[in-house]
Amino acid sequence: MTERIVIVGGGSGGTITANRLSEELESEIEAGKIEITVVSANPNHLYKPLYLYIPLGEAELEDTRRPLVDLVDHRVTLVYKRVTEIDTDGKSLAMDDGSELDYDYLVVGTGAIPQPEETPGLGEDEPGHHFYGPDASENLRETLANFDEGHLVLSVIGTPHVCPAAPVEFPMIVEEWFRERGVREDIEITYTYPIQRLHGVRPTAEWMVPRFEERDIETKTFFNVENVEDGTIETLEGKELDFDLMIGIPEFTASPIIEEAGLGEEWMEVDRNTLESEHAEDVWGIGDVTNLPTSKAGSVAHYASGTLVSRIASEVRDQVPTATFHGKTICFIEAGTEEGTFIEFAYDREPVVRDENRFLHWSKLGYNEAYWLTARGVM
Amino acid sequence: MSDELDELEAESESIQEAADAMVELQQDGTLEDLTEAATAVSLLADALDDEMVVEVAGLANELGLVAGSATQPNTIRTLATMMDAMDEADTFENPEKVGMMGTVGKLRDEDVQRGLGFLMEFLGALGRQIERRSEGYEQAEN
Amino acid sequence: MSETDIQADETVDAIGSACPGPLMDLIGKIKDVDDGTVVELLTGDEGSKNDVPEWVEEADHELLDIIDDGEYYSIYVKKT
Repeated sequence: MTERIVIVGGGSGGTITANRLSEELESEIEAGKIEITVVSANPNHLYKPLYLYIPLGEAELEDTRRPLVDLVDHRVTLVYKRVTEIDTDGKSLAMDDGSELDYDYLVVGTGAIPQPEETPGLGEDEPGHHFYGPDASENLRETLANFDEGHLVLSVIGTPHVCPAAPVEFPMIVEEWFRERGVREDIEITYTYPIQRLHGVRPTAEWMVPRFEERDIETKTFFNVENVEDGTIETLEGKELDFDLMIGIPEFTASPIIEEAGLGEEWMEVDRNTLESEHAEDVWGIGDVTNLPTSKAGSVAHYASGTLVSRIASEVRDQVPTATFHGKTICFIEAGTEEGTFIEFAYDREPVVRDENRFLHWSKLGYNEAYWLTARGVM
Repeated sequence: MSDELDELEAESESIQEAADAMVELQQDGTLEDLTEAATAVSLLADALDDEMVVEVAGLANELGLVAGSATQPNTIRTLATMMDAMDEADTFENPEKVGMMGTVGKLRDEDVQRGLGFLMEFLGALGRQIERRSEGYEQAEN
Repeated sequence: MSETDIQADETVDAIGSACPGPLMDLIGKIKDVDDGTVVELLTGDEGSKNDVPEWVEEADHELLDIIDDGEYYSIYVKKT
């Protein structure tokens, strides 16, 4: 009897897990005991951090994607369909073409989906821009290229949003970019954040204060964007702010199939140490789709996949799973166009933010090129 | 006030520990090596630019992806076997000319049959992998 | 359980939440619910005791109570 492990999602979590599982369970696969299948509606794997560079003309859309088949181990079966329903009692998935796929073990890695339309005035054909997607980031590139005077506002709206570093990096990068283009003195930059400090991660917030001051980036806290229209942002707290160019970090949600399957109300609810679903047997969550109390970042999926692979392998071999995950997260933070730093933290352990330097900036640039090795499970 | 004192105390402890570490490195000669090696880091920092980093990392990425596939245990064994066979075949000394009839004759050789068996297996797998990739590329382009 | 009579309509479990943090979790919930809803925030973060009341005042909502459950705090906020 062949047992089937099905992984839903071809993003970082799904791809890394598939590759590491096929390596770990090599002999079981060879003996015909285990079969691994990845179901992905998108036949391309996306490296989304590059979306930040598209508005600045420093990355192209084609740099952000590679065919999934180039990155997934050849022992893994790829199914290019969209999962429309997860039946955890019948242990079966329904697909958009009407077909079904049974599983013995299920890994859900469907990610976090940007919802700019949740904020009135944000999104396509609206006054508020964002950079979380191919069209949005290309639109912003065109707008930014023609922007040489006025007030640019970057507002963090989503709680939580993917990539904790992006809203920190963008104002600093764009500030230097304006200076390089010789238009900085005609542009005002304001950064807004929902709570009373500049970032959810306390040391990051403290690191930001002097750096934003130095760069003459205005800040507004306790600023929860409710509405964007006609050059004005209105907040939940009753404040108003005028802008010429507004960029929002939108809200994010899990795919609706999570709630429909009873796997969680907002995000997929999993045990923070074992990644097992709180609501169904033989189901695990990986990456941004989960409610893990840490950042929504590729590195979390990467580190959690080690635990996940070990635990699933134990289940397959009728051993007691013992591996646990403790929230390890790493994010690079670019401080402009020439220097960078990084934060590393875990559940109940705050990061230390080092001073930025050129080597860390180059490490980030290098990683952007070599990310595909992470997806492949090599690094 | 006592907070400040605590902080000061912690700081002076850190300074003492750092100084001790330095003295140790100095005495065993490591510090001199480090100072010399640091000039190479300086050279790197002055010579590197974003483009060079991107180029080198891009190259490492592609090589890494190839290495990721090339280092599967079976692949390594197969490659090693083929390399051993290349060595044993000693092709350049006396490459015999084999025609149609010769081929038929050679096919009676059990070693050749085994080699052919491997090639057939390989061709089957190659066909499957080509199929898998071309489906993936076709999907990815749409 | 804690010694309070307050009945929460919604609960936000942010125990162990490092990033984006308990207050962000609370704000996310407050945005979604109707006026008059009582939201209970569970948090193990010491800072929340000050952060949450500060924001609640800024945003003109109502802080009902903060209960120390030992391992964590229950903070009750009413959306107004």
